[in-house]
Amino acid sequence: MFHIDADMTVGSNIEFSISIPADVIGAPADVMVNGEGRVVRCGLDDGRKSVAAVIDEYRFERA
Amino acid sequence: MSPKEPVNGSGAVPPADEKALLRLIVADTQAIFRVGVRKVLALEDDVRVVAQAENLGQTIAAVAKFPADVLLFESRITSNPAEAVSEVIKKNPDIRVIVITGDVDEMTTVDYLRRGVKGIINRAISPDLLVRCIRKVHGGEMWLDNQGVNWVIEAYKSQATMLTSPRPKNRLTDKEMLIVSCVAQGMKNKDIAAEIGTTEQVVKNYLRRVYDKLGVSDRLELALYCVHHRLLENATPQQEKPSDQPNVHTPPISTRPN
Repeated sequence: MFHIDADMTVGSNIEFSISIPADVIGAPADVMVNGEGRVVRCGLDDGRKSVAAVIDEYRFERA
Repeated sequence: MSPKEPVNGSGAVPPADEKALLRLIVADTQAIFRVGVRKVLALEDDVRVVAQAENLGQTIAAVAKFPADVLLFESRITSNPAEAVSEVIKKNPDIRVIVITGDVDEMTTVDYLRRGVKGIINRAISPDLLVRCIRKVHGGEMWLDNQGVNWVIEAYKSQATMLTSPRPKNRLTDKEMLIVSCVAQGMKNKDIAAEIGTTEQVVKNYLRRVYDKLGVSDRLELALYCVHHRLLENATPQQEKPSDQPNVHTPPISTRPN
């Protein structure tokens, strides 16, 4: 689940990219995780737009 | 139970007093090893190889079909030998399983024993020791080398410590921390196995245990757990990490509306 300013609709495909900082995992460089998923729920959380999505696929991209 | 090799390995007429025999099934991927074992045991009047198997299917079938006292089981016969041992013992709860392996570690050893294995031997075992091992295990004893015994004692001590002073559920061992670190860096199981000098299956076993301890279900969740709990930052294995200062790296998300 994440917060986002844009409007999204249930069923939308999303692509995401997560950067895992090197210092947090003791790696020589940041590690990227790229993936795809689908929006399954939209709503408001403390006045902010929140979106729940399922992750269909992801892959670690090593530097 | 290769078609080229009789199921009844000795091919001899059964002695009259069958009950006095130590009946053995040899399950090994290499015919040369099976033949070698048979030759070694041929010198023992009261030991008889009743079946041979070269894969897991044949092993399970042999255990179900032939009454046997001891199973010599090569770990490489399947990708998940520990699970296979459970399956074998389910088929014949009385059979005593000796695992033949060339690569064993603490976790795998303890796992084998918990599943009912009675002996673990190295593939390079001498013929004399092999015979002694089979007889001891048949007689109700365990057979482990010194390293294996130490691992079992350590596991027992660790379990006792957990019972007397419960530790946080997510306490990971040094090896588990190392594997978590590799996963978080995006390494594949094969690469991790090469890095720490073990097999992919052992890495998978470790990961299953780590997932269970941390309550995660896959590599991504594990990596995010590390980020949120700073599990690997200044990691000191076996010590609890502060978890009250999450360092969430906000993911940039791009959308691709339908």
